[in-house]
Amino acid sequence: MSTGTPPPRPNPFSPTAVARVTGFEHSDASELTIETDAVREATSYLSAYLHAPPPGAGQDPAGEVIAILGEYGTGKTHLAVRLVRHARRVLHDPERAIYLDATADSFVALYRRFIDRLGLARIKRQVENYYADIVAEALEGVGLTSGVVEKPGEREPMPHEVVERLGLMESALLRKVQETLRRVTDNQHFGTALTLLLRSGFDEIVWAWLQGGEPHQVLKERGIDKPINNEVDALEAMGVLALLYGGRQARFVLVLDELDKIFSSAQQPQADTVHAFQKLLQVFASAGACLVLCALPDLRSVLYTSTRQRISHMVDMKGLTVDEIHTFIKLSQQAEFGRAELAPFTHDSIRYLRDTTGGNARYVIKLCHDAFRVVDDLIRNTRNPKIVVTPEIVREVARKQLGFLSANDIHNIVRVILDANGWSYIRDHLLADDPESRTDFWVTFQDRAGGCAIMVTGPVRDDADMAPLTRRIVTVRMAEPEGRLILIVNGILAEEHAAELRERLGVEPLVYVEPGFAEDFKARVRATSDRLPRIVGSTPLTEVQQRIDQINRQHSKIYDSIGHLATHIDGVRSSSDQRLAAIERTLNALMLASQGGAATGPARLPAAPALPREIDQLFLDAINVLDELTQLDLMMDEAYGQTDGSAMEDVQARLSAADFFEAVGVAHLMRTNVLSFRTAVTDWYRAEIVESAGHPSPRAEERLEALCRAYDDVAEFLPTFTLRPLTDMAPWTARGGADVAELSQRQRRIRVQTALDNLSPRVQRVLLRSALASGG
Amino acid sequence: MTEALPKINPFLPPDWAPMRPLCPWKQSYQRDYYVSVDDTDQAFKDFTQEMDDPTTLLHEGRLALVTGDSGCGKTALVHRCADDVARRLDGIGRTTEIIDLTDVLNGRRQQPTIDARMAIVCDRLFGALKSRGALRSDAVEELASDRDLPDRVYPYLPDALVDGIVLVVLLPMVELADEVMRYAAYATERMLFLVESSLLTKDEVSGVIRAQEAWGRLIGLHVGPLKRGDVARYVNDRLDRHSTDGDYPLMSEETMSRVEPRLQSVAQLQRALYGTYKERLRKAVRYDRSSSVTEQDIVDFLKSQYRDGPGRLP
Repeated sequence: MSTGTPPPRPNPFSPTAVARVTGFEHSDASELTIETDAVREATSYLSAYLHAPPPGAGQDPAGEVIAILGEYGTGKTHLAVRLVRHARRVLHDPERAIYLDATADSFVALYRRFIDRLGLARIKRQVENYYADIVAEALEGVGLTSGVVEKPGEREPMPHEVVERLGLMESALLRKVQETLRRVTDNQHFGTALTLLLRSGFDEIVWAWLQGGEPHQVLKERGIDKPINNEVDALEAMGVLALLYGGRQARFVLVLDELDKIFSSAQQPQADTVHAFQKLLQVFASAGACLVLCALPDLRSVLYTSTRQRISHMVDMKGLTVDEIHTFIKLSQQAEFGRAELAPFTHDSIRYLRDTTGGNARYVIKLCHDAFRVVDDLIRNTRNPKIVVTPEIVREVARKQLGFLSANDIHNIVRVILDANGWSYIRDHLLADDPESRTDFWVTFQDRAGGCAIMVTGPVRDDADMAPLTRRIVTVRMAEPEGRLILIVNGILAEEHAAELRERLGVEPLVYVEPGFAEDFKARVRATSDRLPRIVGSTPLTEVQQRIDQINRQHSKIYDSIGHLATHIDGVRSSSDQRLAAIERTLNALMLASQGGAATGPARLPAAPALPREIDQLFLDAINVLDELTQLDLMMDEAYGQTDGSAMEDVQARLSAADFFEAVGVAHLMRTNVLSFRTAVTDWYRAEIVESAGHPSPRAEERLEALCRAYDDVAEFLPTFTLRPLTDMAPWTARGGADVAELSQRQRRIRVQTALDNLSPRVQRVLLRSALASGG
Repeated sequence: MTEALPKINPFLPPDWAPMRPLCPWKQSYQRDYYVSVDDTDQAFKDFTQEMDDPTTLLHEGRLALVTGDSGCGKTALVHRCADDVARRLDGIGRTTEIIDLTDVLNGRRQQPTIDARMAIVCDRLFGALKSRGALRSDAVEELASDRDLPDRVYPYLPDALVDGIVLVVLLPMVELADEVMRYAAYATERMLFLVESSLLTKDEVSGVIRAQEAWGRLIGLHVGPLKRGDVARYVNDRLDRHSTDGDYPLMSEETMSRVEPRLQSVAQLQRALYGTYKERLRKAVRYDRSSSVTEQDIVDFLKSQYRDGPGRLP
């Protein structure tokens, strides 16, 4: 039924802003790219490599190692994919440029993905190329050179065909191939194993070993006695494959994305792994191949100097400038509507957008998407086409989309943590007459002089944010020279300012990030208190007294919590009989359904389809999260199952809660959308993978892409932040325990985001990866 | 006027396929078909010297390992050695059973391990000996259930063979030194194993020979690529040999010396010359002694092979 409101315009901005890394092999359509300095720089390095003339006789081929470093969402993956496409175009060969993202935290896993991506057929082809070179040399001896085929349309025979047709000395030629491969790969095992691929009966055995399996006895008899199953061997194997590809003076580009999953300051690898990694870089350079590494900026500090020196170029991904965001918006709208216009965005809103996000490409795109939708809804509802995106709209969508909390939220969290630990504090405390000396919290410790100032600030993106913050820090410091300062940043903290603040405070500012903030904050306060000078004259007795006071304060808070908990447990106990009855009813219904009995209501979850477990788990997680959030079935069951009316009161309380209906409605629609997406994907999988028993065709990938787009198009109107009333509310099964619920509230929000955000690209990626792996 | 001779291909031995290695123990006329090319004469001499007295086989086994690249005449040499031993033993009243197992491992989808290969060979050998009545009946009964267990069969064979029989086994091609060593260990009295390999390296062969020196069971033979003068020797032999049997074009010494660098092995030489003559015959142009096969004819044939494959060879 038409309401008379015009239909929504298609949104030219991606809701996920996640670069597409699967299926791009077959796609000519390039994603929109803004030519930032980093993009130009990286592309020019790669182009120089691709177009370099072949080395002269006796010269080593010149390889390259390019590192692309940037924070999350700065477009590293997008650039990586673009570089692979560029290389494939220049080399006219998709086999010579490969994209690989680290999905696990080890090089072994990365190597296995690499080998799977290459596939046996490609590796065999590469080995055959070496054989063809050697056969061609032998043909010159016979007085035949390749190119004897004169009839148009006829193909050059394969090397083994030539050997057979002319009776060439096959054993001598194979020995030469083996010697060449051993020399090229600098690895006896690979030289042997790869040469075996030229003979019949060895493919499966060699392939299993290349994939990391234990060497088959047939290989052990030939000296290959260990699997490729540790970090050092995996790195060496990757180098060998680079040499295999690069060893014929050919160009080969390997892009390793998300390397931070393996190498990061949080996960320092073993020294021998770092050395093996260094050797990999060396091998790429000497093989004349090009290795592109994408990682977080801390890769610099993780690698040894000697390893860093192997990286020929480092490209830093910086935030988009205002002009670049202008261009991005225009190009996006041109691609969608055919007109390169800025409206409904304005210069002011773009500047604000840039300031809010620090130019982080992913945030920019997401906010553009949300702001466009908000304004388009306004335009449609008011029929006023002049409505534009204002800084206020950007602020609002940023708050919802990026998960930044309001200043009040942060204050509440800090307060709860201070209370829970029994620390005494004053809120909004002026340390001097100057208003700049205001601290959000002033925490004191009875056996310590001075105190700890806790300052909460918004995003610190540029000098404009830094200047007032610096003034506040200086003023607080001057007012309380013995005091300590903990700075909490609610939003983005630009890296250069992080370093400056670290110097100024002597410690890293705390950026509010869930999960883990509470633990970090507690640890920081404790460490700060330890560094404060002890009060002179403090005796063991006064210390004990102070400690008792602190414990008392903690206890009073704990009693509150226990009180809530006790109520909750009472509620649970009193309803346990009814719960049991409800569970029995549910079980009976399930048993009936499983026996083909009459449906007892809407099916709770359709039978699991024939999707691989890894993929179906993504759907099940999303559905489970939504079910846990609403627990409507359980709530209704209990409403009918309990005779004392206690459950009914709770049901009624929920039904009358603000925004409950809307949130439940959205959750239900989300669930239906996920289920429909799952059904469509299952049909696709059955038809394109199971029944065709192979790699998905380009057409099949397009179909999958269309399904994902359809899901996104619906999901766009069902943003996860509209579930906030449900995430803020204790789950039905935990009702009555306010403090308990308070602690898990943020975790619920994170769970919702983890399970539902970017569902379609995750499904697409895992599905294609799984299809490629199973297709051999 | 003499009667016109039939047009024949001088590179096709009678009743034999053109690319099939010579096998004098099956076709006795082929005993003098061997031409001294590829070091084969020298290798054969080495063998006969080592087996100067074949009766030694009655109390100690031997293994002859023939190495050399594909097409250099290893199989033909193996057959010649088998035939030689058999003839000489026959001359002193002994019976020789030549069991050819060279093809028992062909056409397998996946390469077997050494153990599996040896089990297959052992099983087939037992089957062949049984069907030829070369095993004593009580031994057949005793070994039947273990017929694919080399450790069970080979050590027992000298006792299991019917009296007076000496066994010559032509083994499948090997590529691993370990396999050669294991067969050498099984070569006990009344047994001669003949095995060829094109993939063992010089170092591996030296290693095997060194390891077997103390036992004195192993005979190492090697054949190589064509040497200077080999082409002329081979061509002249074949053109002279059939001069009274039929008519065919001749080949000048110059042509022989010009094609020599193009051809590396005796198999390649046989393939090129047989094919070139066949092509001339097919075209029905000037196929007599007044005509010649030229270098260009040979090159044209090689080109056609490269393009069209071996379909033109019978």
